[in-house]
Amino acid sequence: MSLLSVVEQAIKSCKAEQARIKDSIQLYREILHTVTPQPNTDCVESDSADDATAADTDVSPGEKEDIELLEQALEKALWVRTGTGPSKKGSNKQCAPRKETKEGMQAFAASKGNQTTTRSTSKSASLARKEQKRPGTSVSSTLGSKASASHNPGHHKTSIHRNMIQNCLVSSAGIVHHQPARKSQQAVSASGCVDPGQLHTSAFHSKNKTNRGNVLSGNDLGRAAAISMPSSNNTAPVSHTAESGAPCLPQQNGTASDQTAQWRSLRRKQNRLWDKVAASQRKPVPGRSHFMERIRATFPKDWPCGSPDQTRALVDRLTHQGYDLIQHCQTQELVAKQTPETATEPGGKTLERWQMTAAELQNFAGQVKQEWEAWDRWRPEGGCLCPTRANSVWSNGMVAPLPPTVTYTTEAELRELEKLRMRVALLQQKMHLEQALLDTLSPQLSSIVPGPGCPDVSVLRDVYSLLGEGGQRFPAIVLDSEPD
Amino acid sequence: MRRSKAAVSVEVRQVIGALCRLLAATGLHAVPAPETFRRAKFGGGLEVEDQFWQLLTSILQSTGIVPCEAFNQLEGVSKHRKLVAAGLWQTGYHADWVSGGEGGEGGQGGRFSSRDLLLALGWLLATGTLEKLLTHRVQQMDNILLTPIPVNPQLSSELQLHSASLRKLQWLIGSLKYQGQILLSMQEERTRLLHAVLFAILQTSVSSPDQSSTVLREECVCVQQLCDLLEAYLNWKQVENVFWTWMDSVVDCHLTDPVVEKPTHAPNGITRVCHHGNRGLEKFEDMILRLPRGQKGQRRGRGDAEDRGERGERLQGGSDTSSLPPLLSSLPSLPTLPQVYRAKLQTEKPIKRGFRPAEVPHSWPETPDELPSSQATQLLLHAEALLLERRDRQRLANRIQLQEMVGKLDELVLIPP
Repeated sequence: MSLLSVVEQAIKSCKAEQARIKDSIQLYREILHTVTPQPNTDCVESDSADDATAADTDVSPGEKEDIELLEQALEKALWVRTGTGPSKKGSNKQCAPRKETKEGMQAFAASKGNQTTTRSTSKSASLARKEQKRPGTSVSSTLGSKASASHNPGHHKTSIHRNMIQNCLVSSAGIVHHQPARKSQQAVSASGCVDPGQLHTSAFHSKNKTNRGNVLSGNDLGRAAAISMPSSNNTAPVSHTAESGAPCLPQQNGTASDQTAQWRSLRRKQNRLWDKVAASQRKPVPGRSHFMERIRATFPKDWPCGSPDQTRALVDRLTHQGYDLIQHCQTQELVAKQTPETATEPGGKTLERWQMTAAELQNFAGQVKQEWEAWDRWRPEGGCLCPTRANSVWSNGMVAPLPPTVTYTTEAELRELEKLRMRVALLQQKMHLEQALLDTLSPQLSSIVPGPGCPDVSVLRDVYSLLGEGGQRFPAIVLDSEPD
Repeated sequence: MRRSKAAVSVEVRQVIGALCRLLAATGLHAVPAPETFRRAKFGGGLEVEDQFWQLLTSILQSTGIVPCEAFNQLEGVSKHRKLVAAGLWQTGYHADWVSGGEGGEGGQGGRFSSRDLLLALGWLLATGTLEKLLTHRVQQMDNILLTPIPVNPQLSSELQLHSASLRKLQWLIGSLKYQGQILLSMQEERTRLLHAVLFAILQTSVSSPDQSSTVLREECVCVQQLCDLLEAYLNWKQVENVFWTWMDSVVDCHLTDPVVEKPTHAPNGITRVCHHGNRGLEKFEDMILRLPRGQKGQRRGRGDAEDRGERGERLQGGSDTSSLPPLLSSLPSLPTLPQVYRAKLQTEKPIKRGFRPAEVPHSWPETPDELPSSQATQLLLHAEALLLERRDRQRLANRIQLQEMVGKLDELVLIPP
């Protein structure tokens, strides 16, 4: 396996996590939108406003710049490709063509993203995902200029735009379809953002049937389009039932508030139940321990204590501690070699302490190894003894407790907690990779012996920066050709 | 107070009914009826055994104790047997039919019966499988949990890298960093919304919004199921002890049977390779070999004495590795943080529970069910500091080594940034 593929895998898992977070974000938005009273009743305007703000908050300023630059570049490419120059755009209204080109660019970017190689796909795929909301925004604002768009003298351009919009929706449909079935509701509500886009597309559908084969073949979005068509423009609801296919009318005030109240009371009930469950965990259960002792008495004499899972976790933990200790000592020695004047008494004492700890670790590790081997002797087919990071095995090992509850009082606390969690996870990932890099490169490095033939300078530079600076800064390597 | 046998048996049946309801509420499909349990105690025959095989298999698969991929090729009874055997071993259970059943299909000389399966089930329940099932189900159904962040790639031991692809590697690492930053910002957004949702739960606004949504309806259904699950669990906890008393009687029945010769050692010495390959102990042993050696004489003396002491302990059977020796436990180690947890917004002032702010917890407390976020934050900060220290130390060592290496080369001079 190549180190490159490992890093690529890590990137993929990051992206998968991003998709999951995005799902949760949409779900929470949906819930909040329903549960908290909305000030305005006109949904279409609020939808597009929401989408605008949503799109804005999704994209940070730095990324916005990137997207602008990309759009400009793609705009140029489109001009070259379609043969339309900036001069032809002057024939239309000022605002409309700019927005149309913009949406065309975005759709073009999305469709391009489907075709290009891995490097740019990763970027434009993420762009396409963000921009599946953008067509909604820009298209809804061009709804008024729909008439002028269809009468665009550049018919060539319109059909390309149409194809691109549909391709963009196809790609968003494709992306949306990857979510598990349970989240199909959210997929439908995601399409709520693209709702005005559906109206636009459906309008085109009715005009030009040849393009129908392209897109929206019998999936949720298609049904959504069919549903949203008959509903009046003023009260297009945010989400609609995909399964029933019935047009979603705004509910009566009574049932809606009932539902919210019901949800609230259910959630509060759940909280209370959790508290009781947590309290029940604290009570000891003598019958259970008695039963376990009796069963243990039937085990053979040399049956190890605990369980293989505990031993696995212990081996993993000891391995990490051991490597940590080794690294401590090594670094200490290297630093002492470099600066001999600072290597004095305190260094000696810590070194001795480390050696004692190392001896202790060795003995303990011997015991653990014996235990591991004992488990291995009894291992049936399919049992696993690979050291693994302990997930649900605690130091007392017996009962894997339920998810704990973290209580907080201010939003800032929760945000800090989550930020730290993510930072620690990312840091672990980074260190994992750096360790793998070191392991991979060290045999190559040790083969660079002094002698005739100059090794590749750029390779040395790169390796130094990767291993010594985390890839952030680079050294300078100078050829010293003066004879000493 | 002597109770009539009938009353006891009715109570037992109710308790087992509670257990079955709980198991069903966790999403298991193969839960037998309470009567089947009773029949199993007295050896119910193949039909009863079948039901219990199914139950054990589905429990082990749902909780992830046994990875499913290892058993996909097998079918039928042998699949159940092997899967259950592996799963039970994984939790530290021993029984003759678990380890000795390589050759015989139907069991060991007719001694195997559904009672053995019942005992195995009891063991699983005693070692916390119910809680695992509960956690698994809660994770499936609850949308507002704080979930784990799985970003660590699996590494195999042999990795290659061509020097020509160093540039691409640098680009990929930069790209990974960018993805990490995106993750951080998205997480921030999500947390903000999560707080808003948790806040909305606690509100008692009277104004009625004018729209309903299917998402909320689905939410209500899920939360209702969760509430049912939690209630079933609470019911079970209240009557748990009766169940264990009954299981004791099952053990009695089992032990009064003519006892089969207990194997005192493993059946055969073949080490079976687990599906991950055989890398199990390599890294561990490598670490032991590379540990810094102290002054030989001193260490050997102490080491020998300790070895002799430990060897004596070992012969008694099962050395106790549950507690670490003192110096070792003082070594900094990454706290094992839980994977999933609930966030709870407290609007009223929390009751002081004697938590002294000066105490910095270095590891997750033994059985925490509720933790103030400040404590959790402290733990995470501690973990982050450890990791950063480790990383910087490694980088320093790398730098020094590389500088040394380039220094040995005649014509090159390395100027660090």
